[in-house]
Amino acid sequence: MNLKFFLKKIILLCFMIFKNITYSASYFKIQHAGEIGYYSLGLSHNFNYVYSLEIFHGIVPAYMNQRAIETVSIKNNFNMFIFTKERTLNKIYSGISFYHVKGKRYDPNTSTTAPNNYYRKGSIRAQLYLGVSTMITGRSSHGLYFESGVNDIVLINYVNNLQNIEIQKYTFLAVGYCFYLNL
Amino acid sequence: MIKIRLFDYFLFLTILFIVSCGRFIYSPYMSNIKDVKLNGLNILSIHERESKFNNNYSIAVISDSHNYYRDLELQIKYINKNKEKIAFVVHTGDATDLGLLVEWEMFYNIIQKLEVPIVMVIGNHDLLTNGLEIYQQLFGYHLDFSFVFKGSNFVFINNNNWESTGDVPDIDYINDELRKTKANSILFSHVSLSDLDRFTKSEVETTKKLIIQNNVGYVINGHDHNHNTASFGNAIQLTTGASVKGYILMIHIERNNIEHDFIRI
Repeated sequence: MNLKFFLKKIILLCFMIFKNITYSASYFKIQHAGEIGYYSLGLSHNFNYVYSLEIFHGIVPAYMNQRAIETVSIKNNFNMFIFTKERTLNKIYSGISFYHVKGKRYDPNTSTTAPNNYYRKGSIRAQLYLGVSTMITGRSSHGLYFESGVNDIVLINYVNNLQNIEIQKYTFLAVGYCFYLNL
Repeated sequence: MIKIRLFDYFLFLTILFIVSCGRFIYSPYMSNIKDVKLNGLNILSIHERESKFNNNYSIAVISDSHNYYRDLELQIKYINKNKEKIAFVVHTGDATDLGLLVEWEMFYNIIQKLEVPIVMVIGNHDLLTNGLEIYQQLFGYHLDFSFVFKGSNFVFINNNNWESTGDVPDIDYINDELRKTKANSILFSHVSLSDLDRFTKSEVETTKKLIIQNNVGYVINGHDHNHNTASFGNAIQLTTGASVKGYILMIHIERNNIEHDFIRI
């Protein structure tokens, strides 16, 4: 199936879910780094106290790299601890995300003249991460979050080469701001 | 007096832990890396080492290290242990799986432990995604290059035709470089020159003619993960084998006499 078409369908489906389920909060997010772009914009929806789904569109501008990189990602957050203190809601969560980098050159089967399926898919990556967020609750709810994690390549290479790879050198950080949307 | 509650302490420690490990990475598909151009730098240091060796020296050849960092490090340990007799190291390509920045960084961090200069031929996997741009910063702009060491001619070519644009391999370049000297010539490439999946019969025959005409003694390639010895024209054709297989190809050169062996590490 065409990946572009598939991603568009997923995004559309997620927006429909956001619109129809109004009993829990939805947030707009701006994120810096975290392997999905220099900056990325996204929507987040809390389905319940444990699970939230996020969709991001990120960009690394061309002036920061030799060419612009555009990323679409889906993040699944699982709350591990939730604390409320005065007017703040604090969460420690873990997550798994998948992202796709747009562009022919990131898919070896289309960027080379090699026979079909000679190379594995190169444009989709997965991430595991740990995050912490602090939200100010009230009429206008907004807050900050930090995330730290690794992608599938780092994780697999680390597991296969425990003595030779210093995982902290390849761990990514992300910082972001979110605010409540009254959908 | 400030009261530190258990909750504050816990939250503070979690934030500290998360922030203290890692760095802000924008994308693993970025192509900005240290601009060190190792091939050029190391060719200079290979020439500086020329006086250290008499006419009897060895070259270590490794290949297809991909994500076998443990095995690559074992190879490096062996080379460092024998650095007195090894003039230089050749990597015949495929240091990565997808040419990603993080893979190049992992590879670079490990080869920095080498105490012998290394030159590298680009492999087909290294050319994927933004791999070419990273290779050009890390190892050098030219994918075809050559140098003369102790009278022997070492020619390195890119023959990854599926992953490259333009005429690859560059037959005119190979011909010009091999003609430069009548002494020992060794040709390094990533893909086997006789690979009939990638090259037509007539292309293989053209390369074979060049090898015969220029009296090349050895053609050495990577790509196939099992080490092998065969012949190509009048030359001995060696496949280095992947790091994970646990062998290093050693080329021993004494004046005009070249010998080789695969050493189990």
